[in-house]
Amino acid sequence: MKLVLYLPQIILCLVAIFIIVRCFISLFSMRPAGKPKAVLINRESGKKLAISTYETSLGRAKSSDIQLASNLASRSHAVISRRKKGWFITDTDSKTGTFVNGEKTEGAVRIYHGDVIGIGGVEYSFIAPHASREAGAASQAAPAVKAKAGLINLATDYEYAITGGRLSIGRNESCDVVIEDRMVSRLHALVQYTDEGWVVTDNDSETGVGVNGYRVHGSEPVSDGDKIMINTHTFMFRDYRDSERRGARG
Amino acid sequence: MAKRSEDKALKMKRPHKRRPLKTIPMLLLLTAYQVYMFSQLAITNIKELEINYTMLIYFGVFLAAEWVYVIVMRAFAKRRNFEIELIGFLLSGIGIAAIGSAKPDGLLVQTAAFVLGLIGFGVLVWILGDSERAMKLRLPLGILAILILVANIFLGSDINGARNWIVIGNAVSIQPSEFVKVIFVFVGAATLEKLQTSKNLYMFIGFSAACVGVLFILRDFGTAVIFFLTFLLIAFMRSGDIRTIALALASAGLGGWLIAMFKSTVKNRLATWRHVWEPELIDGKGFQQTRVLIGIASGGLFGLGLGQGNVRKVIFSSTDLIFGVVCEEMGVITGLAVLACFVLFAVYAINNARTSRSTFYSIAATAAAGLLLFQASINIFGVTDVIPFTGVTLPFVSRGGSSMISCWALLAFIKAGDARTYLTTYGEIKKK
Repeated sequence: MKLVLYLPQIILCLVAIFIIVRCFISLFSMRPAGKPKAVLINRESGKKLAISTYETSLGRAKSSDIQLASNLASRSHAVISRRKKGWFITDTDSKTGTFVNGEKTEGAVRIYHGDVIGIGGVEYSFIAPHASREAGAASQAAPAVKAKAGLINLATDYEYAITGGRLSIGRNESCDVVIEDRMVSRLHALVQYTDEGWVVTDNDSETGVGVNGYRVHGSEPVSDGDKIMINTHTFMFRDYRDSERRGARG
Repeated sequence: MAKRSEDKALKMKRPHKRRPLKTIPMLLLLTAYQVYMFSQLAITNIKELEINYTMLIYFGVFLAAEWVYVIVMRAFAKRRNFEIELIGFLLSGIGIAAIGSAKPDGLLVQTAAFVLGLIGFGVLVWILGDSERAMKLRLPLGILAILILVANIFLGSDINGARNWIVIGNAVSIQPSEFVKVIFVFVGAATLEKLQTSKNLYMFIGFSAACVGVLFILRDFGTAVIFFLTFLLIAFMRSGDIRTIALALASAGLGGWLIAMFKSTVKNRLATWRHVWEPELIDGKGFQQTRVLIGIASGGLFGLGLGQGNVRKVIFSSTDLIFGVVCEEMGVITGLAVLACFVLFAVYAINNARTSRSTFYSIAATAAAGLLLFQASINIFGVTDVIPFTGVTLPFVSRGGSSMISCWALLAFIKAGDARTYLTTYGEIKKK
């Protein structure tokens, strides 16, 4: 009888534990896959320096995210940051200064795809296809154009907009959709727009790519609502023009 | 174009490990948990169904605020992740239940503070959405913090040995240092480009010294210790230099020793520490600690039930000793779960630092989580006589309007440190 009376107390404790454990498991395991992507290319040597974090420090110091070899570069020379409005470079009190397209910078300066950045006597091309000057001007002049296609991660409910006609999926940080899973190849698959419409391509991955439960060999056309499977991760492909057409018809 | 080969159909499993938390079912479970807890207090006589309607209203407002917040954020801010808020609701609910048992008169202020805290949380998460906007606010907020503390020196009232309260019209009393905690974290955080300029850290050291100095003048030593520990955390995150931290610790150790020698209150508390069971102290200076320890033992793993304990009758049971009330009436398991929340918040914030959108968010989240953990540890280990007893509140759980609001504001920094919070802001993922 005592145990029956005591049972609600036990249940109460267990429920509290369950809520805490479940919430923290979700917090620790559900990480966003989207990461900023840009590259600095040394214009002399052609060496590529990947920028995959929102704030990247450049300098001679070992602690810098991108370590520069030039003796003219300061230990902490500059910071490239991805902000809400776009990409910016800030000179952090360097001795020789930071230049964008030949002009010395003061404070945070917005940089665009193709800009030439001068640091410590070395010139780098800034490559970020989504940050072109035209795109920046267009986004300021008109509201953002609705993406024509997207990929929804059914586990997290997040949607990745396919704006450049191509979306890469893989374990590598440079991919558009990063899946932190050993069973996923570095560049596992591509979703791209071709003359024949949208297709998903298996990039010779170890575990393969599935569309609606069937294995893809090479490339496979996909249409609105198709399920793309990468190991245990399922995504839904959305073609908004397709769905709009169907909506207009029906 | 390749053909589909049906014979090689992939037998792919739905992801099990990384299934996201479904907010509404979890909130329903949490509501059921809280309704059961609250009903233990509101139904005073189950046989004759005597109900305390005033209490019922407070509990109703509390539950309604949780649901309104989630519904509004889902509908208008397009948020999908509410894990941090759910843990905040759980802790606040445990606090409301414990206060309902220990000091029912305090429920009005606590419920109102919870609602205000939740609104403040939403606003702060929005402000933090743009790190540039947040950076611009640091200087005016820093000046405001100093002004608040200086005003506290002149306008403050002495309550329980500390001059850290401002009483307005004999009805409302606020604890300004609680709000300064939030500003302290705000001012301490900075974007990477700001961190690369060395003078920035000196400004923060000056600001921290001013804050801790005023808190010493106000004789609010517990809060001063929390500020100092948070300062160490922020300074390490900003500089990455362990030598600076060692120097700061050494100087603080010397300062602490001098205070312990010359300040009678601190000296008394140090003298009581680890001697609370001695016959001359058990019903004197060690009264509170011994009653909490007895309460924890009598509550056992699962507790005696709300309103059934004895710690609630001890002075300051709803504030400093609330951990004793929770353990006695809801069980040691619940008490440890509360502590585990703060530990996990800190681990989560550190773990998130790498993926955060700016060092501003990494530092702010780690500092906020660290501050909550330091405060919870000082409270819990203080009342259980593991460390000298100091009068600091248990975050989210103890009675106190200022404390509740500041705890939710600190939680906003942890929320901002979660990169998923602002996915739509950076245009990578569309709002659904």
